[in-house]
Amino acid sequence: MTPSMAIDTRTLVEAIRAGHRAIERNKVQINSLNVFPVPDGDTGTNMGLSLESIVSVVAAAGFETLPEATAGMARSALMGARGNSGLILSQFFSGIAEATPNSTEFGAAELAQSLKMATDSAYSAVQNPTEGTMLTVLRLSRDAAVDAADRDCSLTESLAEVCAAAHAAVEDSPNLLDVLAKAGVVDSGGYGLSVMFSGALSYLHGESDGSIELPAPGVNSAQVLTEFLAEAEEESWGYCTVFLVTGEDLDPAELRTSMSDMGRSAMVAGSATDVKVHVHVDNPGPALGMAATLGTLSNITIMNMDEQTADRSARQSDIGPEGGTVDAACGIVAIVAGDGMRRLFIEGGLGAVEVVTGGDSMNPSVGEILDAIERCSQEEVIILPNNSNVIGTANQAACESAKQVAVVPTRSMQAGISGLLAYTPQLGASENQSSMDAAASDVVVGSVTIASRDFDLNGESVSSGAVIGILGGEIVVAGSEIDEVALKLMGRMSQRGELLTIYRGDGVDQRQAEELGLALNAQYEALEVEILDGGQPHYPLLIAVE
Amino acid sequence: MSVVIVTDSTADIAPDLIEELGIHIVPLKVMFGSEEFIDGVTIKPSEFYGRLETSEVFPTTSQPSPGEFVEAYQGIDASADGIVSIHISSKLSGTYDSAVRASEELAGEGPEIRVIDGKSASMGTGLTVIAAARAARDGASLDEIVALAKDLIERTHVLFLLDTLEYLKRGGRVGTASAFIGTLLKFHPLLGIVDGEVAPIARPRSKQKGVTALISRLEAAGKIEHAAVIVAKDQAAADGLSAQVANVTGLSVPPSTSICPVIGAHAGPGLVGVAYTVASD
Repeated sequence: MTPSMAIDTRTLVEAIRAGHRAIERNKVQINSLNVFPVPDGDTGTNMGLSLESIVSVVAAAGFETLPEATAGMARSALMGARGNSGLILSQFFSGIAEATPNSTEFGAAELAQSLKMATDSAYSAVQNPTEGTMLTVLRLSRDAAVDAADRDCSLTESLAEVCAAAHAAVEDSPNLLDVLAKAGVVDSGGYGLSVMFSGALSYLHGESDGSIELPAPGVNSAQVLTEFLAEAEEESWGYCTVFLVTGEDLDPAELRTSMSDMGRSAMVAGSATDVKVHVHVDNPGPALGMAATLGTLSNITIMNMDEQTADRSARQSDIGPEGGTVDAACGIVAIVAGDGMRRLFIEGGLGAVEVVTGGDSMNPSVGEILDAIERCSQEEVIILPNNSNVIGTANQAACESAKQVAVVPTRSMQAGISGLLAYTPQLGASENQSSMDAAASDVVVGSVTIASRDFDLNGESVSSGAVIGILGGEIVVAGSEIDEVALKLMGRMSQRGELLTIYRGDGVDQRQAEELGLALNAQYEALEVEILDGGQPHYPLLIAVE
Repeated sequence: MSVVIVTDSTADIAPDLIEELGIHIVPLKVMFGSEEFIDGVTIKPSEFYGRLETSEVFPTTSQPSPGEFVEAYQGIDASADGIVSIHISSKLSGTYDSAVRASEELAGEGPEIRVIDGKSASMGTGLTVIAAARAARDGASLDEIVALAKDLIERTHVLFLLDTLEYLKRGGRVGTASAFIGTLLKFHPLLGIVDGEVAPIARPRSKQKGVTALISRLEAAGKIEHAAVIVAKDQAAADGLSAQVANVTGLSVPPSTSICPVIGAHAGPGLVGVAYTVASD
């Protein structure tokens, strides 16, 4: 095809169809760039569906004149618009219809007029037009089209300049919109618009039917795409699925076999009437469906373990991409033992926690705590000593610090975690102190450890090396196995609460902890059981009920 | 004729009130893969949560197209004294943008249309819509209803508890509550809608503690003139919450309202919350 000044109805429709093909071809990439305004990864899909409704109506109706075709496309764009990007497309197609009320051909002047009208209505439609988005790309495309029309360019020449302007605007979008720069992407809707123009241009040049690959400018597309796809793929496997089956004549062993066939790490326990199931599956549907044929399902929880892992590793390295920090008025210093516990305190602290290693048999010094207080960027700081032997040191550090420091006198890491979750970053130290203290006091804590010497427990002799359970600073139970002592200890703890947290420490693996969790859950049905890797020394298990 | 009030399906207004006050509802859509449902019309909350738990694909949602708003507006009696169209926060959905686009399309034809960003969701928008519809029924003018709605939007808030942030995160609506993401520690996020988007409030470790925290925020909010309890699936929690809300506000709280599938898709089955309007001074 030779470049012509203007094109007829059929060619215009074909060019739009080519633009649609280009969107379809690059849809996954457009989706992958979608972080603004709502990061739901559907811009490409929405633009594709919106254009599909536009081209399909033209194909079906077979309009004869240009005004009929453009009016038909505009109506259809309005009805079929999907998402915000579809809305802006519908404004472009309304612009085309308004620019061609009596035209027989579509040329540079009509393109300029269409983009002018589209830009005006797109900018006026939103309350606060945000630059660096599809709006900017539309506006700069209009400038190029108006300029080309003023110079009496052909439609093809004009569209080529529009493509170049759109491309440059897309590349520049992260400079205008911070959220794009942070995510390392360009604007998805703007890029979609430039893809659509490029597809149409390629058709008008006679180079392709529009289905060409167009990498987004200025981004490491491969990387963004890989991350996007990896995330999408991860979501399709690795769900930790837990539920309770209630029925009659249930056979836990048989159910265990079925669940083992369907997934990994299957753990099934219970009776003929109640069976608790825990299984890691690619897709929770079939496992739940199968169990639903045996009885009634309840207490269903499904967690995506991969996302949790990803979140966790992101937080570990720095602050997670989504986790983000908040502007905190008050920092936190926590005295913590164990890698897992350290991680839980850092992750749970909304980016405001400084950790000091310490606890039983390794009490930190006043100086170490003071250093941590200084490391906090905030002028107000809360200390969580997390051990009765550290409270005094913490109080002294609080007195000596030049900052405004308050101590929430937690006697265990379990209570410290509960206090930490009541932390409100926007509040100061004294306001946080009372709510964190209330939360930390509202938890009953126990621990399982190993006796370091022989002693007498209620008239029975317990030898060094035995497993013992501690409640309120007193040894209350003893035995030879960790699980057995934990169950006995739970019998002595208050079961009034909703959540039982088990922090597994040195010498207890995840499977062992989960089995214990299932046994406890079967016995104390009202309690939800949470198992966390605390990695604390000396204490195979730390337990909290709240 | 009086002014006509239009809203969308996410305002979660009970069917009998919709009928009584003559409110026009434009539904959003919810999709399970390629299967599309019309919010509250071809899929009801009760079926939705069953599907949510068993479906292999995660539901997605979609705003009404401008054309659907054009049809809704054109379906209104041409003798109406105007149309006030109040919608879910423009930071949570493009519904408002579609409505604005449709109103521009119809500029100059039919009754005057005023589109308002409700800056909230569910009954947070619903309370404003209901008050606007009552005013319309009582003969208020277009300008009066717009002024009333704008005032109510500033005074109406939503507090809600979830079981998990997973659904909000997946649908990209987690807002500034993203600060709460990234820990394995279990909590039931207490959230609100602030400046039209989801915002973090507290991290209670259990639902019961969450309800207590929610109620104490409500108490701190001052005199409340209207309140409504919203719920996804946990009716027992909603009943408990309703009793406590009635207790601290001294209001007779209507039965809890089920949130629509579109909001359910983004919040998850655990949602329970309260929308309330603070009395003006």
